Amino acid sequence: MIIHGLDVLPRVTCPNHPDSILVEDYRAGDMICSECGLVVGDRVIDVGSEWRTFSNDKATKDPSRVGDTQNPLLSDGDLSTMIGKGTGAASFDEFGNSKYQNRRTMSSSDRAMMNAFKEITNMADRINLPRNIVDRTNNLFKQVYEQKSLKGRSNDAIASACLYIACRQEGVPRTFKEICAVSRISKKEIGRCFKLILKALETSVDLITTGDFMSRFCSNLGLPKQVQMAATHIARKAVELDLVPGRSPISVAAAAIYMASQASSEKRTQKEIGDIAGVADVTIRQSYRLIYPRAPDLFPADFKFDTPVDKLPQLMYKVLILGLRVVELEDMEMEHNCWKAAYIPRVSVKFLACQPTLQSGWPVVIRKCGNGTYFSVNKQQRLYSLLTQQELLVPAMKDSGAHSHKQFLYLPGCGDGSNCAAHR
Amino acid sequence: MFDVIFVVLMKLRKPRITATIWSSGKVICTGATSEEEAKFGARRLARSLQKLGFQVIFTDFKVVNVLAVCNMPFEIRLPEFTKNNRPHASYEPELHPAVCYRIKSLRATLQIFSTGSITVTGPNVKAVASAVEQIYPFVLLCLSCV
Repeated sequence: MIIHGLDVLPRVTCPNHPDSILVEDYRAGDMICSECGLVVGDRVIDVGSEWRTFSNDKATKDPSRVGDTQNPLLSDGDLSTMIGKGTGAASFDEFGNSKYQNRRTMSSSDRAMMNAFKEITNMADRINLPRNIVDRTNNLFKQVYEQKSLKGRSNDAIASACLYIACRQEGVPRTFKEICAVSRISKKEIGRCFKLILKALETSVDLITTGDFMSRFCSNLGLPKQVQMAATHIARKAVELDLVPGRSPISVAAAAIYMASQASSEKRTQKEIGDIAGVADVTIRQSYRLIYPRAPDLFPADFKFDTPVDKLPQLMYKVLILGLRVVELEDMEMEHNCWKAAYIPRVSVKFLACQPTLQSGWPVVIRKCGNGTYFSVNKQQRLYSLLTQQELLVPAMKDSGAHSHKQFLYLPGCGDGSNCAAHR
Repeated sequence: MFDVIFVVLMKLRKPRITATIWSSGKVICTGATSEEEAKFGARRLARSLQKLGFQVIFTDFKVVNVLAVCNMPFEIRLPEFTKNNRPHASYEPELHPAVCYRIKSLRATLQIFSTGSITVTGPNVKAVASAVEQIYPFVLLCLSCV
């Protein structure tokens, strides 16, 4: 009898449903009919593990006769043979070394890739990332590695960038600084690799929002749930109202946390928040100054204030503006509403108190933040027109006793400023 | 990456340019404010090298990169802008505060800041000008009214 290949082999079919597809159950080694559930095929190979191994067992006693679990998606299949430890006298040569060395070349083609996977697992471990992010990172790394478009870059840099992308894609972004903290690569290099990988894989990622980081930062600072919710609300509102154009969401989140914590009983300093978020405390200060004027609108409606809104720290220099020359004076006590009224975005119009206190009618100077620089003539004119248009300031009267060659601007509401002190 | 030791920087006053001179004879001339000025500067440079005694020939003058800056009179909302212009625009606030918008057909790159100022780089002046014209309607859609 001539047997022609597979045609003559008996096909297992369910007796009741000859056309139905049989489902394989790996662990028990069965073939099950998908219609009625009858176990049709028996004695199919079971690919489950033979022995169970526990972590407290001694390492030498591993009776398993097969290797580790395969990682078919990632490496090129792990089907290498390993030579077991010799037991009898014949397996040792003259000097006492075992005759047959083990582990010559496990998988030479992907040695670098396996190293990278190990590095990724280490990095993810340090910041306690779950397994799904690590798997995603490994997949990304494999895709990038096979493409070879980033071949010249250090594998560690590519691995760090893949980790960053995986966190973003899973909806739980980590800041570049956080990834930097667990990797030996600089932020600049990770950023470069990040952009290159996005281009190579032709994907894009969603923009980061302030809310993504709130739960992590707040729990690291030990803030209660109300404060976290308040901070999330503040940050979201601030971005909606566009009070902080061009600021990184991390800085805005940090400033929101500062404001929320200062308004509650659990106060945190700028330095603490800066440490956790990876932003400098001056950055928090800058963003805070931008959101402070609208503080009452930003807090959620049901927030319980431990420190009321007007008692929140102000953090402004309050520069006294004298005509168009910059004069900076120390320490501030200023009428709350005139300062609020003069908030102009991006110009850092700061009002300083002239000793001892600023009152309506005192002149104001427009200053660029930081150093005592003069503004250029164009800018002065622009600012002058802006301020007078918005009626925050009114031009000085002719005979107010001020120096005639300086243009003074006064806060509206009070006289002609004839009672102001001489300025530097 | 070229070896930086073998480069001479030469600055001219009249067309205000800075020239990077390699020993192979290649020269990169930067800082001019127009294409003709760049050519004048390069020629002036070649003349001064000739006067020094080197056998120079002025060949292959090519304007490679033009950088321009312009200002929109309004502020721009960057996250909205990125969402509307997905494949071309890329915005990473952690890395750089501007949106990087690439126009492939013109080979131009624009950096759009939230203050409304835009930096354009392109292969020639015409490409840069048309890039600004192209992007104006998109940017107008996402202006922020404060």
